[in-house]
Amino acid sequence: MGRKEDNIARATAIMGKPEFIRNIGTAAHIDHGKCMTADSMVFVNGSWISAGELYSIHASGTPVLDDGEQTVYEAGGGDYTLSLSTPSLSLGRRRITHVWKIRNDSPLLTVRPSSGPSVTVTPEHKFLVLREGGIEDIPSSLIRKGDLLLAPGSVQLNDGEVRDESMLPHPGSGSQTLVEKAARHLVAGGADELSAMATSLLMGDARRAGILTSLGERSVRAFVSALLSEAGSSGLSSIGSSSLMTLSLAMLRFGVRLHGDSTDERALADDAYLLSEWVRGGNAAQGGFAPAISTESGPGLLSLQASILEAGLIAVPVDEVSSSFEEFVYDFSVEETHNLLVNGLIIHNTTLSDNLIAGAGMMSEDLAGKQLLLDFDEQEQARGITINAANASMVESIEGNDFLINLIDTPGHVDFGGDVTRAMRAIDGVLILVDAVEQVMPQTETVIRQALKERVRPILFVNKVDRLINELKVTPEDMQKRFIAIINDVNKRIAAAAPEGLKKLWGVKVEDDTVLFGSAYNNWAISASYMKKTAITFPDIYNHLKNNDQKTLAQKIPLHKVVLEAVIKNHPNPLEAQKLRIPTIWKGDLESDVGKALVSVDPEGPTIFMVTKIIIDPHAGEVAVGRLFSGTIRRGQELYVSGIAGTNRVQTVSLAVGADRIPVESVQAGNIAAVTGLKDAIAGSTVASIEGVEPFEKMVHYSEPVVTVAIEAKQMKDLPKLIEVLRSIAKADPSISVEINSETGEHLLSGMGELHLDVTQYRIINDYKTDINASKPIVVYRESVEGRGGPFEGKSPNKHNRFYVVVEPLEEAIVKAISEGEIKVDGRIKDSKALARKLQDLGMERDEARGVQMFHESNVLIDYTKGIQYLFETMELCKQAFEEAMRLGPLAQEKCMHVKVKIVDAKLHEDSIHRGPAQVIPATRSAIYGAMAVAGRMLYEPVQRIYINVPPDVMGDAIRELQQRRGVIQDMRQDGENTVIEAMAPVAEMFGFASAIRSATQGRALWSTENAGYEKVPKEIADKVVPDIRKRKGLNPQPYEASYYSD
Amino acid sequence: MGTLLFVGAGLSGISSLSTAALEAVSSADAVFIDSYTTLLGSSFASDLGKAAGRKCELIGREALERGDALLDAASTGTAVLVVGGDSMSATTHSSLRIEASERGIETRLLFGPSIFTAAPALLGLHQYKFGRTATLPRFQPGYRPVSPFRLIESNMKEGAHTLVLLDVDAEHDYFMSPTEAFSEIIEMGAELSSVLLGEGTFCCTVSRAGREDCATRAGRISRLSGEDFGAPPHCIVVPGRLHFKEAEALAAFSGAEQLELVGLTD
Repeated sequence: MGRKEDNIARATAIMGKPEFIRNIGTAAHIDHGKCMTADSMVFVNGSWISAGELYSIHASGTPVLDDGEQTVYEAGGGDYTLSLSTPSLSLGRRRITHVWKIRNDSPLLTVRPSSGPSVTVTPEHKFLVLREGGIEDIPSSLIRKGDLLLAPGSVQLNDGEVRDESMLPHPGSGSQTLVEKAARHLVAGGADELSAMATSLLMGDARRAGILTSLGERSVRAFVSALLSEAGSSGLSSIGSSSLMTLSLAMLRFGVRLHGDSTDERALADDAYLLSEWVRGGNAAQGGFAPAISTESGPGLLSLQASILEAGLIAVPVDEVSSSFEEFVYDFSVEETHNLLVNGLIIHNTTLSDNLIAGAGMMSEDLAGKQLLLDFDEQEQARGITINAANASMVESIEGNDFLINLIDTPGHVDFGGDVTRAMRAIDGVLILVDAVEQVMPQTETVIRQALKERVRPILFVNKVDRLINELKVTPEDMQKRFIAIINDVNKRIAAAAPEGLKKLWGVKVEDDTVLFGSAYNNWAISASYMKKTAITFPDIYNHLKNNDQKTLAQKIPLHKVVLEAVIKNHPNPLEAQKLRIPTIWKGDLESDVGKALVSVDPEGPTIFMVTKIIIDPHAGEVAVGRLFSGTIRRGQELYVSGIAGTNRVQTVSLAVGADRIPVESVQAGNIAAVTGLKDAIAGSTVASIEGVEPFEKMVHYSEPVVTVAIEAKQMKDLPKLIEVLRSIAKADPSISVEINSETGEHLLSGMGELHLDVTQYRIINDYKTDINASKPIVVYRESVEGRGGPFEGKSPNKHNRFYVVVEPLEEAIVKAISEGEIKVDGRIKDSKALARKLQDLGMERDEARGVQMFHESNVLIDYTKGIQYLFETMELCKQAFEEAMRLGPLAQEKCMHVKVKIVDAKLHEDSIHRGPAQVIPATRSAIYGAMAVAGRMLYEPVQRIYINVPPDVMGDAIRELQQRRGVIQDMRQDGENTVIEAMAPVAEMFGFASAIRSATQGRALWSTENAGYEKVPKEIADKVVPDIRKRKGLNPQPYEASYYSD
Repeated sequence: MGTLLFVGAGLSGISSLSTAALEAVSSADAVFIDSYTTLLGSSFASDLGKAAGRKCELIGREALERGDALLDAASTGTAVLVVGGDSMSATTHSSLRIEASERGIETRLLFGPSIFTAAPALLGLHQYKFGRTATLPRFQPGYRPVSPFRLIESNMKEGAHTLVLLDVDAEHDYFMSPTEAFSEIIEMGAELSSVLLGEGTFCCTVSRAGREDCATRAGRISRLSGEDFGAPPHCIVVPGRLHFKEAEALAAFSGAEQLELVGLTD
């Protein structure tokens, strides 16, 4: 038996013994997003290369990290960039260690300096900015016009070797030189040719350096000068922006910064003129040129400026910050100095040690082959597959016992997709990584809160201990103090979030190995037990770090050993965990057979599987990953998916997910499994072998979509494909809702806002390669009532049944309880007595509370009658009518909200056939619509809260922009020199706001929005909007009068 | 002001129309045939048209319930609505009559033979022993009424027979068969833990009453369930206590077995 088979056999053997299983996750504050667009030019090995190209050069073989969101490759070590060491202010060559390609889901910001090309980056991406008191890392989202960006005064290209100098006539010798001819040709050739040739001449790539890069300085200067004067005389229409970028980067070697984005003819002509005047290292105050350092600031800044100038650095003022979007962004790791030269500016970057989270670190290379089930054949071992799996199963042997550890990495930011939250459902213990230098971050707190809400036991891992010594140069005493501070801080947050009974019990302590220290990246960790076992003390660690010897630590106290032992010792096994967790995460009857099976992790019980993530696999299709809480899941099994009729057949079952899955025949309760064939499952589904099982509690509450677009395939052939794509998208992003209409081929895509839908459409076109036409975005309205209306009589078509309905607005306290999830409105009412008590506490009258029949979102149906014969038989039909009326309101067939519908009386025909669906549904619906018409129908629209941060001189423009959009300013406060405006505005008016505010404020306003519920549409606007919606839906333009519903 | 005539066409196509009815049809300004509440047979409209020498309009459920066309015709002249069975046995017709009178339209009724008398007659059951009538609706999502079954039970406890009409949706070509009715009785009997309703319940069926091929059956549900009852329409009767003459009739005309009748007679 090979090692792989052996390990699978070992894992399979443990799979059925829950006491030897641990399901764990890792959660770290990850700050990725420090990234740039593909066309950004990175300075590598004395030449410029685009970020996309640099990445693709290294993107082969096995990535060191690939979790679907980001892919990271090692850079091999031969590529050097220019990087600034901040304390010493020295520019130097630094190795690029890793290249990154990261999926982007936020708007990007383009920072345009007053000279030189602009850089487009994610909002978190930091620039080195000269501020009073020193150089600071400032994220692009906080960069303002006038901020001073650091840049090298000039950039040494690879021009040490003069190769073909003799081929070029001496410039200024009277006769036309070769370069002048070349330049003229290029300009005459038009934009495309110019762009292509300039790129190849000036740039090349990092390996085949362009001709000019290997030419002497004089020749290059002659060429560029000629090119510019040609361009200057013939007009700039022929020069594309990419060749301008190329030129301006090339000019950096002379310390000249051109207006990279400028298409202003005169500006370029000026540059050409100035170029000829330019003396290297010369006058910095020349108009149009950087550095434009203000001398009006205090003495601190002045002295700093002096030392910067000495270091060959200049400071370039920012002209404009504007926004855009790209699907992928790139980054390059430079260790230690953490910055690199891009588009002539020094910008911050991401290093692997910033990002490699424990899941990756724990399955270090030395583990591969021993513990990992995934990679045992040589090839896999060679490519070090270990860390590219988002989920992995490991077998670890401790004190003669084999343990199966199912690990879920929870990468990515805590975004609105709620990945981290959902992963928590599958696991019983979590390793919370806290950076020793950065300490507890807001995200750490979020993760702790989520873990405790799900009754998942936290263990603290103080990571990057080496940074304390290498970067902060702390003393051993300081190190201890920091540790204590972090532990106290974490415990404070645990105590705040934990339920009674666990507050003390789940606090983390060094003594019992619930606090670990180490460096995941450098592969070592220490716990109290290991200190005893190995006699390694903090002072020893301190010394090793001081001597830069982490290798020894990795050998003596290897990360995986220390961590996994602590996990096995402290994280609960599924038996203990489910006893504690099931009552919190499952609201069914614990005394029922299902309840008992869930609590006891019964492999013989009904199969109950909770899906936490849907992975779209190119080969296997949709893979449902989740936790099997009860029973056994088998190939070929027919399973019910919550909320869906019929069954899905399990096609494959496997233990671990990631790049590889290990197929097995079956998986038993207590494990994390990956299952294919569950075509109806989405993240959050409960999948069971018996019908009608109480589903697990919802993990994430999404707010309702507020904007819709209608989309259709451009090509006939894509019609079926588009439906598939939309289904996939809806499964992967639960905040998107999709309405498929196979008849017309026009589908509705609804989301959280204009940008959300833009990004989604972008993915449909670019990721799924499906061309679509999209309508303009449409706002999703709501309907409600103004006051009380009725009793209104609704008659059945045969006139032998009558229903009397009263409607009124639902009590605000109850609306609030529903929106906060305190009152569950999904599914049938289980405990009507408890519900009635709760509703009474919130202010509902007793008889109403007792008569609640059902909820439809925030609307409620109440049977307020007494002793009416046969009414109970027709109540289901009344409910259908109520649901229909609430789904399609009387005003414009939009959804209703906050409506209380009371059936106060009914007169029914004696014979059941005369009060069937065809009679009761129209009668009840008419009664509801009629009562709503009497009560006063109101249209509601979604509104957004908008935060705008603006400098004083454009504040008026920002306010005007808001006022034009029916915005209401709610608060204004000072933030430094800027003002933060908080306002509310209807979503309908916010379309196109992004570009409008940009042009109104020259891109100097920073803003964000969040959905903030619904507000009444003013009458004069509603009178216009309602007929528009009705016409769009093919209805009569005017809603019906109440009398219409009484006939 | 005009007149609205409700004409009961009886159970045997145009052959059961009275001469008075035929005359009324011939001389009316407008004639409508109800195609919704019962099955008059596919050729009824053309047969009637030929016999009366005029055009007759079929009227469906929606138009019948709304009533506009009928009432408009009746307010200016004489309108006739021809319905299957007796003229007033459907709810829709009685509401139409009230609405007509509210509009000042004179209404008249011409009777026709009805299942209410035909079923007892064919089975040989005594008419005055029938209790309230029930209708079995087909079960639909959200609509499984228990009241018809409760009604049969309560009639049985009183010793009364129940005429059980079966759901018809002529527009969707749906006619409940006795077999389907039996399975509803078994299903609901079990659900209600009924001692009276189940496989052992004694039932009679009347198929195509008034037509040449009309047929009746009687026996326990367990035996009848397997039988083919042929084309619609059908109805069933669940007897209460049987007079010995009734028992004899069921044995003679409907194939009831002696053993099955044990315990039902007084």
